Amino acid sequence: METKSSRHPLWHNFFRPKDGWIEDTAKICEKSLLFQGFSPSVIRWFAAKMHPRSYDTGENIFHAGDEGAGAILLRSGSIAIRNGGVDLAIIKPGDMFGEVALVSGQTRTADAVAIEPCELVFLLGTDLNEWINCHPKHACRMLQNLGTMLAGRLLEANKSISEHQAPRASQ
Amino acid sequence: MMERRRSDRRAGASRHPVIQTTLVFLTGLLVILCLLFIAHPVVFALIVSLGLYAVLTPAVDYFRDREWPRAKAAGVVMGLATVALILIAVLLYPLLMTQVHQISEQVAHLDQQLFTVLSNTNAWLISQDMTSIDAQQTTNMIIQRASEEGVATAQSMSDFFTGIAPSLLLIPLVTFFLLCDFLIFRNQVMQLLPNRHFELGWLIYIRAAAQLQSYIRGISIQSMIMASITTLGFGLAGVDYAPLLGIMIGLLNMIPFFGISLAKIPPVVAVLISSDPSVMQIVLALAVVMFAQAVDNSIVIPRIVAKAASLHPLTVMIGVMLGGYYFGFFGLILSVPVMFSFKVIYNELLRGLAHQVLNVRIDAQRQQRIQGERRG
Repeated sequence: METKSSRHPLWHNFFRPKDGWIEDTAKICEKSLLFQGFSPSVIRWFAAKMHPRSYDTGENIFHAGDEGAGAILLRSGSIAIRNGGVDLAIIKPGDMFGEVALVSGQTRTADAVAIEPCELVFLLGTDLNEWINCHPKHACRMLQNLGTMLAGRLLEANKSISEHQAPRASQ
Repeated sequence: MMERRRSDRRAGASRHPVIQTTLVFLTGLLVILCLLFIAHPVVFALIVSLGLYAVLTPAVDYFRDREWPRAKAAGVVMGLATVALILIAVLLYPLLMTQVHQISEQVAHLDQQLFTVLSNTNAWLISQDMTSIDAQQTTNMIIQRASEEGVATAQSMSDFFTGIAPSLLLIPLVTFFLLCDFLIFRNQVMQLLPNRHFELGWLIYIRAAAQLQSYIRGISIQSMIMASITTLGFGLAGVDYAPLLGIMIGLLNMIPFFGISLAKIPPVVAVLISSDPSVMQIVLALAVVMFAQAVDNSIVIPRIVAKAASLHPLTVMIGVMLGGYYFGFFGLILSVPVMFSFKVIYNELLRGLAHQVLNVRIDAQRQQRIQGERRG
């Protein structure tokens, strides 16, 4: 039986692998557009490199203009993407967001706030770059997937702008 | 309103970013100093193991990319590195021992050879109608000073090696565990960061580590270039012990500023203890060192080291002097990387915390506006 002291962060074994969340994350990653076309072993490698975090309701994950270290995959809970206090999107479990930070030198474009307790994992840009440098042949597909994701966001933004401008034009 | 003030205070918004950054930085520094004080007996082993980890990691990653388990990859790399070290020692030991034996034999006649050089110089000065020197008195003075310095240096080196001897056993073990688990340990330490500083902490770590890596790579390349140029130069100039002197100058060149001056001593001593010392050979030996340093200053340092260090020369000079005074030889070598790491960490911390304070203020203004609209 696991005692309270063995669960305490100060007393647990730092080197013991904690595979539970890794397997769980790998399964979620398989459905993400960023990892489309990759083998389960590659996806598991990425999942093992990710960094799990927990956020309470109302806690900011990041602010617009912050320098981002990487993309974020939501495992449970929900997150609001806001700009100027207005909700732009609601992120649900299995969604990836903040992938703009994977493109070097780009800052966060909106605020992300937990609207209920969440479990999420960070995929750092350095880990992605390390993999890209080691596997240049497969890197093309990864960058293509990343480009598709960013293009999707751009299309959504264009659509939203068009919808807002249409009523004004008709007036 | 009370809740907002509490959240502002939690985020440190009430303090100026520079004060907040300085407090966080000094607290971190204090924690590091306390840890170093506690870990003092094993600090040497840890530093050397971290250096070896940085050197051997690409080899471990090569095997990891071929889907080897980390422990197996680390074990194989450590095994190969140990075999390589033993081979180098077996091949170089007889050569170095022969040279050291020759040097120790020739050092016994150093006073006679120095006297010959000074007598020749004195005769040349007199022939040129210039002021003369007392060769015997000058020789005695130099030998006395050199023997005093030599005894002190030998004693401090003996104390140093006696002190680090137990650490030498620890180094392979610590390096093996670092190769196996350093990333897990690093990630677990980063997990201790609070949520609001998690990304900032990683950004600071990534930038400081990248700059440190770049500096270590740069300084290693610089040492190898200096060692190669001087070995070749001494060989061409006919100075004895060219490879040994080249390696010594390469290592001395790792000490910023003072290394340049110190690097001129070994070739002069090598010429003086040779069978036929002359002023011309001393000039040639010094010319080789100066040529290597000119190449170093004009090509190697601006392209490799300066970009990584980016510190003011005065800061480097004072830092190196203090590092040498408090921590000896390792202080001389480590002062520059420690200083620019601190610079990167402080600047990134200041940038990140200033932005966070700004965000807290924007959030507070937005809350106020929303509350005002509700009341209206």
